[in-house]
Amino acid sequence: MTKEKKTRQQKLQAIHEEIVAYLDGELDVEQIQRAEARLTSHPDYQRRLQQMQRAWDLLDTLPHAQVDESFSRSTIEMVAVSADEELQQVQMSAASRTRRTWLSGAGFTLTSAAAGFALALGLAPRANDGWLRDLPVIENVDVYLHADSVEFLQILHEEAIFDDEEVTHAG
Amino acid sequence: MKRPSSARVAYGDRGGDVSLSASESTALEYEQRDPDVRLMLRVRDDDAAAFEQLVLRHQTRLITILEHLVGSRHQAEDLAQDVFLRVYRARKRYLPEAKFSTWLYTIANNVARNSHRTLARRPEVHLTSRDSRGLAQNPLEQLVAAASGQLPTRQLDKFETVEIVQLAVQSLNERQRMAVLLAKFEGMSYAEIANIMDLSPQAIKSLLSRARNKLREILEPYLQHGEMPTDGSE
Repeated sequence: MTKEKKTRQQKLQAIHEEIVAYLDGELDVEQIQRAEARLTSHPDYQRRLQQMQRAWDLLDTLPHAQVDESFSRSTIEMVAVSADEELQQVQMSAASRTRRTWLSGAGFTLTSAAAGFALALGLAPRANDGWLRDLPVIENVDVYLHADSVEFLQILHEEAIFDDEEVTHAG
Repeated sequence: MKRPSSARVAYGDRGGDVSLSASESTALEYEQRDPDVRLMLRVRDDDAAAFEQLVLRHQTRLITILEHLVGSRHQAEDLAQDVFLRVYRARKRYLPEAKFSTWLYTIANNVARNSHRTLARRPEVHLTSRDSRGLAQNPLEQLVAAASGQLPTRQLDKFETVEIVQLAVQSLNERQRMAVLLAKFEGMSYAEIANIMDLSPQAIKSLLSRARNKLREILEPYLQHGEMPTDGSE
């Protein structure tokens, strides 16, 4: 397409836009005055406007739909079904939420109970603690019976005289 | 009726001043001006009777536009039901930011566009639907032939006029057709059509100009021919 032809087409398109906007009442006062000045001075412009208007008026012959009662009834029914489904979804979602709340509550209770139990187990004095502490004494009670006094045994322990032997003996 | 949240009274920045924000003021304005907005606000509050009223008030116009848009009454009814269903499902999110019809036709435009895309993926559906009415296989060719006087001279009756106008409308592309139908049947402004079709008013101006020029090109020869039905000469 040559530049001249393109410019001509653009000009024509601008004129058509003005005519259509004029017919549609979409121009401002200044634009209306300009369009009306063209109408009086350019017969081609006036003819094109009349053609546009005639073609537009012919669209009035297009039939309008005749809608019977069955359409609105079936539409309302369809929407009612949709509303029921919506309600069921809300109820299911609420039930699911309740179930989740219960499950998370039960989980929390169980976890708390387990944690409490572990804590109590850690903090409470255990019955075997004394026996465990005294285990080395119990294991060597026959040896200790030969000592004269507890003080003597403490001196032996502090000076670690028989440590190696004890280790060897224990091993 | 519950007061819509979008139209609630808000307090301005200055202590004690009672004012409405711009959007709230708009909502209130539409609520007062548009009875359909008031009905829709009742639908939002789960008023089934209000929904029925809305369907009854809009079904004929909606089906008319959809029928001319898609070219099939059956499909137009299906689409219209889909539109009303979407209106109902969206009721809780509804805010009166425009006329109700603007919102309704925005939904209709989206539904029709989606349907067009679906049908475009199934080309076997696009059979010539008007063959049974005695028109040629390429209706536009016949239209041009009739308009240029190549066919035997005959009185074109009203049925044929409607047929030719329908074919002229069908010759427009989908966007041009929607804009033309909204302007013609709903008397909508460029701004409203732009809002519905998510385009600028300038784009609508160009779209309508091209569409109407195309209609003129198709219908003017027919009109000329129709004005001289007994002439017979070219």
